This record gives sequence, structure tokens and C-alpha cells, in this order.
Amino acid sequence: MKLLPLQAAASDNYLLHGRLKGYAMDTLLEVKGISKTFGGVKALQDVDLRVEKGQTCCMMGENGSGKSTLIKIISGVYSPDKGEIILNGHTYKKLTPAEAIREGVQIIYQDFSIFPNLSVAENIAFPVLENSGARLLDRQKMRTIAKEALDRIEVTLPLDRMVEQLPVAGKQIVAIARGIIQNAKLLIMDEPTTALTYREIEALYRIIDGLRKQGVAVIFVSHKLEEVFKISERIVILRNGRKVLDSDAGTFDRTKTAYYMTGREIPVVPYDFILPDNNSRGDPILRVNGLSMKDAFTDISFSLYPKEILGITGQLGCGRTELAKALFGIGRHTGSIEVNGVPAQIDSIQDTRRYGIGYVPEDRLAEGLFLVKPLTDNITVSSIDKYGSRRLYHRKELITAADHWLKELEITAAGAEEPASTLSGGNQQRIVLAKWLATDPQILILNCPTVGVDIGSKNQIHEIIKDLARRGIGIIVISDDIAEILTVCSRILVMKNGKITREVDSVRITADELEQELISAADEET
Amino acid sequence: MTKILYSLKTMHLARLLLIFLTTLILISVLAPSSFLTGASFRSMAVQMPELGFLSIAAAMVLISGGIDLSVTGVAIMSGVLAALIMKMLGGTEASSTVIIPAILAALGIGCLCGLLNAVLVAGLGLAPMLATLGTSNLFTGLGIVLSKGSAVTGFPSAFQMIGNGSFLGIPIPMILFLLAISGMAFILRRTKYGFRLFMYGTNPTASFFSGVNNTRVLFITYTISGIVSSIAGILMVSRINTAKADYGSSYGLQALLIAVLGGIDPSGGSGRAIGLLLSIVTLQIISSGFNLMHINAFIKDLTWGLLLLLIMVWNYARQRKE
Amino acid sequence: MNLKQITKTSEFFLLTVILAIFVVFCFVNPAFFSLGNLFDIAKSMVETGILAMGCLVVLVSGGLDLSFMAVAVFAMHSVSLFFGRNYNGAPLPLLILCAIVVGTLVGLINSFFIAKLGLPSFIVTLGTSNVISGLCLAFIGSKQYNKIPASMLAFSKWNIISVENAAGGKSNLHGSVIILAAVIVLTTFLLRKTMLGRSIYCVGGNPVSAARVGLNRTKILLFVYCFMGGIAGLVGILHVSFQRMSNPYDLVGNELNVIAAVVIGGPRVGGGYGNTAGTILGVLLITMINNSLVMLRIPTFWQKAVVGMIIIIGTAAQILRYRRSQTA
Repeated sequence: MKLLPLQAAASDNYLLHGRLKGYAMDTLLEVKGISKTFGGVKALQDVDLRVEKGQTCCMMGENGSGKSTLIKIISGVYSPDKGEIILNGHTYKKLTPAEAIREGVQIIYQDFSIFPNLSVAENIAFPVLENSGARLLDRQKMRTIAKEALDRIEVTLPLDRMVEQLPVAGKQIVAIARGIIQNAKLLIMDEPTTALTYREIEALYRIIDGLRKQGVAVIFVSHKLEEVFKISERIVILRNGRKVLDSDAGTFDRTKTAYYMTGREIPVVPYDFILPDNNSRGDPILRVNGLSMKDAFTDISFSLYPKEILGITGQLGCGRTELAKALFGIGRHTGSIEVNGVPAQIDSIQDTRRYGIGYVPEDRLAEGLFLVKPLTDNITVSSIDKYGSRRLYHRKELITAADHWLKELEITAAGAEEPASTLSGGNQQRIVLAKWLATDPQILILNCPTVGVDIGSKNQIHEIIKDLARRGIGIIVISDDIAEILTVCSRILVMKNGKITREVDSVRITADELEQELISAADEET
Repeated sequence: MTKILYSLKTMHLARLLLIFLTTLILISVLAPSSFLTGASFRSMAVQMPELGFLSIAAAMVLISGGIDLSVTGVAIMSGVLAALIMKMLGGTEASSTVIIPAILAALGIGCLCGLLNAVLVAGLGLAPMLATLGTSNLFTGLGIVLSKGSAVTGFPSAFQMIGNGSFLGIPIPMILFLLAISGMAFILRRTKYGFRLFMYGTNPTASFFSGVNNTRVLFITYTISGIVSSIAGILMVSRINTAKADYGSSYGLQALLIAVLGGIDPSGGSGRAIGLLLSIVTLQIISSGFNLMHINAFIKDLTWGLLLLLIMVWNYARQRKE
Repeated sequence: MNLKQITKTSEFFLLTVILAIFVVFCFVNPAFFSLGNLFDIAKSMVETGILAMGCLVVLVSGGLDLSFMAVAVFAMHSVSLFFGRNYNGAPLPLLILCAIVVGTLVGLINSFFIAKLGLPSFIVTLGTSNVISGLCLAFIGSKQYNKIPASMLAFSKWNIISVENAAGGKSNLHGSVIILAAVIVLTTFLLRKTMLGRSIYCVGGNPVSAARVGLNRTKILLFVYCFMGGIAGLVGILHVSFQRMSNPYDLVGNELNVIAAVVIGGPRVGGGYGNTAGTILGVLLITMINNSLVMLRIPTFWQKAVVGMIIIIGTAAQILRYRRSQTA
């Protein structure tokens, strides 16, 4: 690694401190007895946390466990009701965002918080220039700063490219570089791998590793167990505002994760559907033959039977989402689709609805919900044709239907006329499910049905999915969550580079084998 | 947060009602002899509908999350077209029946104008503001071209009846406007198109993934806007018995003001016909009241603007408090 | 940026279109290619061009201002009337300064609602537009005013270049183009070279990130709407000089035409996008077409329809081009 003089000095300094003053001086961040209450709700209670220089710590917890509150306290957005924050030996009762930045705390938000309309160089260097108090923009200096930041994480990016033209991973690198050049000592990354392909994740790990060697500590917020164990030295789990676990990654029993996060044992009941043999299985409800879409997938063929839950898995970018959308009538495709043995012309969402196909999108907030609208509207929007006459309806009918589904799916809500925004993530996902169930579908396509949903809710949603299948609906689950695929699906298709490379019954494959299958798929990417 | 926003929308109506009652009482008290007369109500009922129709047109598009700057353009062009057809078919001497093709042509061109907007917005994907900014110039411009830049006059008396006649003592424009606003209320509350319009306006991506035919919703919306605008054009020409291409060009932004004051959220997805009605009646009472009290006419503009700011700040302050 | 990249920019595209139209016009009527005509176009660009710079800054910040014409009229009428009655010999710089100050102060009203309270700019300026022109007409004056300060009249005759043309008359380039040039340079400097200008792009491009980076949105927007106000004030004075009287009914109602010019200048409007080069080309395109219909023997009543067509075709072409560049 080529170090610039400035950093060399910094890291020398770090070694010096390490040797002379002992272990205690290596503590970067210490949080002591932090409590925070929001309108009577205890978001954090008496939480302690210590992060050493150059340490990678993974923070886990369900939604509402207090982890985002803790991050906001460390970065100075919220001030704690009780307790103190010690950064680099300086004690703060209250921390302002400016102080946090000065002490070297940088957050890489899930949306990266970058400016899509500005160049790479400007995005990286802007905060530094802004804080220098300069009134004029020194483009030369801007490029130097950006170059230095990218060098430090050993990445090259076109400095003049508009950030909106970069792929997701590139945007993340810009965000990291921007944090680093502001003299970051602690980088907090919120779910950094969600939108990355396997290769990009590997590259990110290398960057984190490099930072660690430079003495930068990283707090990593994640849901994905595999990566937690790969990257972290320490694991911290929060539940209901309390720290329930703080352990070395090496000694932590990974099977206990769900227990720590939810506080209860969750029994895993695999879906017990066995495809009847060739003679008695009858017609599939969906048969796909030689389906192709330009730049997305080629020659996909499979069948789906009633009561079956078919899993389609693969790394991000393998064509799984495009395939799901094609089955839902989005995008131009070639090949044939048969529903109940009859060729189906599927070119629009209106077509698919006629064939009884429903689709639960991955991005619940943007693609699935009308947040400010009442649950009634959210639930009935796809089945509106069913109620009233051809062109007219009465609101009463909609409310009756909505009430039915609220009960059926055990959705916790104050009432059908409450806006969807008042619900928790798990309940919101159930609303999106209810929307399609209300259309009496024969086939449901679920794209990553439990992304961003609590572990507790996740299991409930899995039970609902299995229950729906038992009632005769054919279900396709698309997900890269290996545990989910294995517990929910009866049969699994593995996709890589737009092709199906393996078909296997879920009882015949273990989690490790499936993971290997996915990684090998990624390695073959060109 | 969003729950507060949700309740705010009904709060907006309550505030609007309060403003309406206040102005009504104030003006009744300040100018009882002139305001509380049949004549004054009749004059209000004649002036209000033109702007009212344009506000309905603007409001429908606002609910879809877009904006229609071309409503006056459509009104002007269809007014001029109707006028030219009547003139061609005999002018003042013509029989009453010539108004039928004239009106049909005006409505037809309004429909076409709406379709063009829809093609640009839903088909080409232009931002509604840009598309209708262009068509606004185009339609007004075509109105000027058709009339060669001068006023067109001379229509059969039956045509003037539309804008100036009355039925059971109620001016015909007012009857038409009340019908239209009830129609709007019905469309928004009872039709499936109305339901889909609200959903589209709230979140076009989610409505797309929910199987709503977004293109169709936009086409219907812009076409309604076009047709309703052309009715405003017919009324205008009929009332003043002249078609002139620069008449009423200031109505466009006023129609938007009325819609927003009436609680139609410019970011889309919410709004009610009753709010629109309250808003326009309030503004009309203010301008008529000022007129009767011999208050400088320009104070009217000022008050309209102040009302809009007042209700926005009022909403804002409440939001802060909660 | 190399040559190939330059040819791909939307500004280059716009320039090509303008040149093509120019060449066609020259063939139809050779008089089009005369110094006199070019000077006329330049002068006609002054008002729209200066206002467009203000609109551009507002659009970049992610807002929309519908009140700038009302502000311009307010500043124009109040300054003309005040100095016309009290100090007719006021020098032009003083008048301009006063108008800019008045415009900026009136712009503060917008700033208060938009920057301080965070209300949507579109609704606020819809309201303030009515309020400001109402105030002007009700309290400052609702009649045309002819006895404007002498320096304004003098300015209207100030030509910096005067060339004898073939017909024996004179082709004059009016001095106001210097002011236009100055405003363009100033705005370009602001948007490209200053941290404040870059902050405007940040706030427009991603308001949430801007706050996280520590930018003060309130201050930035406060500046933006005051800038627009100041620009409007300046245009008010120029307008009086051009018209040789102050007519409070002028300008208001033409807001959208200025916005249209800005819009033609870039593939995407609003929030964090746009530059002065594109904007001025947009202004040039519209002005050129507006000015040349007469020379092309097209009746003037075609003007508005043609402008409408240009806006539709222009924005559609920009969008389609942009989309193709994204997919390619």
C-alpha cells in the first residue's frame, strides 16, 4: 500500500500511542450509561459501548431495538437524556453533529447521502472545502483532496463523472471516501451491502480491511449473518433499548442470533410440500418455457404447481428481479408463459391480474404502499374492479373488504381508515400481501418478501406464505436470504448470469451448500 | 408525522370554512344594504363560474400530482373556435341551432387539447409543468391565429343566453358550475377512476405496481381538464358576447390559487370538490364585497394572496405544535 | 472535457439548433444576417436574459418563483414614482441600486415563507405574486407614469456601438447588453466558482444530504430568493427605460415565458441541474424566433403559437436525447 506522507504520520502516531500508553489509550469511543426516551417510549436504557481504534464492530438488532437511536447519539443528532460519550478521551454530555465530525465520527447512510448532480471529486471534497471556510471553489484543490481520499482506500474512480452515473457500489465508495478525507476515525455504516453484488461486497470488505490497518474503527449495522461473521471482530446486539450481547465474533454461537435479537426461541417449521410424482401431479398452474429478456436473462424454463412454494435465488444482478417483473408483465420478453395449461399473453400488469398473478415488490415503501392513504385504499387498490358496479363503488364495500383482510392476516392496526404510515414494517408488508390476496390470485410472486422486516415478523410472514400455499396458491419467492429460501420453499432454482444453473429440492441441500452455490455463481461472472 | 399530515387535510377544510364564514359575516355586517341583495348575489353567480370551471380543470390535474398551465389556453382557443363557427354560419342572423355545432366543436377541441397534454405527459414523459407551459402558449397562440389577433363578435341570441340567461332566477352559468362541481365530487368519491386518480397522485410507482393503468388515468384526467376548460371558454365568450384571444389570460394562475386554497395538495393525491367550492365562493365574496364597499379593486388581489399565505402558515403552525 | 464530450452536451445541441435556424432564416430573408438585426436581437434578450439568470438560480435550488414579475413591477413603479416626483435628476446607478434594494427586500418576503418556514415555493410565490402586485397597484399607483427620471430617458438612448448600414440608417447596439453580460458573468461566477453557488446545487440536488453535510438550507434559500428579487428590481429599471414610462400593468403575466426559456436551456429542470450557458441559449432561441417572424413575413399573431411549439419540441427533444444518452 502506498501511503501519503500525511497518513504515514498519522498511523505512526497511532503505533506510538499503542506502544507507549498501553491498551486504554487505544479506546476510540466509549459510551457510558446512555438512556434516551421519546415521548414516554424508552428507546435506549443504560447502554454501554466501547470501540477500540481499528476495530470492526457489528451492531445488530430488530427495528425499534434502539440501534439507530444509538448511532444518532454517537453522531450528535440526538442528545442523550442520561450518560456520557467519550471520544478520543474527550467527554461529552451532549454532542453536536459538528463536534462528532471533529472527533472523527462519520456515517455512511444507507442512501449514501451524496449529491447525484455533482461530480465524484466535488462530492468527496465538498465538506472539507466547506469546513475550511473558503468562499470560492478551488477546483484544483478539490481534485487533490478527492484523489487523496480515493488513494487512501486504494480505489480509482473517474473524478469528473457525475455521481448519478455511477453504479451503486461506486456511490458507496464516494460516500466512504468523503468520510475518510474528513479525518474519520470511526466509520458507521448502515446496512452497507444491501444493494451490492457479491463482487462489490468483497471489494467493500477489502476497503474496510485497509481502513482497519490505518486505525479506523468501523461500526457495521447489518442483518445478514454471513457477512457479520466474515467482517466483524465484535458483535453487539441490542433489544428493546438494552444491550443484550457484546461478544467476540469468534466465540459467538451463531445459532443463538435470533434468540438474542427477539428474546425468544423461534421454531423453524420447514414447508412440508412434496411434489407428487409425474403421473399424479396434474397440470402446473404456471409453465414458463424459454423465457428471455435482453441484458437480463436467457432461456428460463420452469413449472409451478398448486400448493408449491418455489424459491428463486441468486446474487444481485443475476436477473432474478427482471425475471420476477417479466412474469408480472413488466419489460419486453420472448418465450412462452402458460397459465393452467393455456398460453398466456402477458405484456402488462393488467394482463397478469387477469390471469390471477400477483406481485409483491422488493421496495415496499416506493413500489408497494401509499403511505398517506388509509389501509382501506392500500388493500383494495388492486382489486377495486371486484367491488360495486363496473365504474362505481361505495366506500363501505372497500372498508368491509379491508377489515376482512386485517383480521385474516392478523394485522395490528388502529383501524382500516388509519394511514399506512402508522404501521410497522412487518405489518406494512402484510398490507401489500393483503392487496394481492384480495384479487384472489392463483400465483403470487414475492420479491424479497422480508427485506427490512424484524426477525419476529419475518417468521410470521413466512408462516402466512406457507399457509397461503397450503390453500392452493402457487408461490414464487425470490430472495438472496438463504435461511429464508430454505425454510419457506419446497423447491429451489439457482440463477446466475441470467440462467438457471441448478434446481434442487430444499430438503436435499444445506445452507452451506447453497451459499457455496451462490458464491461460485458470482465467481464465474465476467 | 404522516398521520398528522393526514389529519391536516381535513383540518384545512375546517379552517377554510372558518375563513369563509368570517368573510361572509364581515361583509354582511359592513355592507348589509348592498351585499345582502338579490342583485349582488346574481352578479356573483355570473362572474364566479368561468373561474370556477378553470379551477376544476386545474384541480383535477393537481390531484394527479401534475400541473396544468394550459387551462386558459384551452378556454381561449375553444372560445374563439366556437365564435368563428357561429360567425361563419350566419352570425347574429343565424338560427339558434348553429350554436350546437359551435359548442360541440369547442368541446371537441378542448378534448383534443387535453389529449395532446396527455400524450406529452403520459406518452413522452415530459414534466407536466413543461408540457403544459408549451401547450399553453400553443393553444393561446392558435386562438390568436384563428382570430387573426382581433375580436370576434356577432352571435345568435341563443348563444348569449348561455352566459347571461337564467333559469328559475338562477343564472345559467351558476347552474352549470354547480352541476360541474357536483360532478367532480361524484367522480372523486364514487367512481373507480376517481379512486385510481387519488392512488396515482399519491404514489405513481406504487399504483403502477398495483395494477393501476397509469397512462389511462392520465389520459382521462387531462381530457377532463381540457373539456372543462373549454366550457369555461364558451361561458366567457357567451357572457361578454365577444371572443378575444387575450381575454382571461390572467385566470390561469388564479385558478391554481383557488385550487390550492381549496385544499388540493399540489404534490398530488388529495383534494375535495367541497374545498374547491368553499375556496371560490370565499374569494368571490371578497371581490364582490370589496366592490360594493368601494374598496380599491387591487386590494382584492392582495387579499387573495394573503389568504393563501395565511392558510399555509396556519397549517404550518399547527403542524409545528403537534 | 475533450471535443467529443462537448458535442454531446445539451448546450452544444441547442447551439447547433440555433445556428441551423439562423442559417435557414438568412436564406429566407438575407436582411436577417445584418448587424442591425443582430443588435436588435441582443437588445431584446436583455430583460428575459437577466430574469432568466435569477430563475435559473431558483430552479437550481429546487424551487420555483412565480412572483418575480410582480417584484420587478413593484420595484420599477415605486422607484420611478419616488424619484420622478422627488428627485428627477437622480443618476442611473442610484436608481438601479435603489431598485435592486427594493427588489431584494421584497424578495425577503418569499425568503421568509420558503427558507424560514419551509413552505413550498410554488404555493408561496403564487400567493406573494398576488400580494405584491396588489400592494403595488393599491398603494403605489395604478396609473402609467411618464415623468420618469431624466437619466432613465438618457439611458434608453445609450448606444455603445453605432454603425452606418447600407440603407443609410444606423444600426445601434444598446448599452443595456453590457448589463446583461455583467449579470451573466456574475451568475456564472456565483454558480460555478463560489462555495455558496455550489451549496445551491447541493441543496437542490439532495436536501437531506445537504443538511447532513452541515449546509444551512435556510441561509442558502434566503440568499436565493433575495437574489431573484434583486435581479427583478434591476429588470424593473431597465424596463422603464426601454418603455420610457412606468406601466404597472406590464410584465406581470409573463413569468412563465421566462421560465420557459430557462427550461429549454437544459434537459432537466429544477433541483440541482442547469447552467448559465444553456439558459442563455434558451433565451437566445426564443428571442430570435420572436424577433424574426416579422422579417420572415409571418404575421405576428403566429408568434405565441410558434413559441409554444418551440417549447414543446425543445423540451421533448432534450428529454428524448437525455433518455437515449442514459440507456446507451
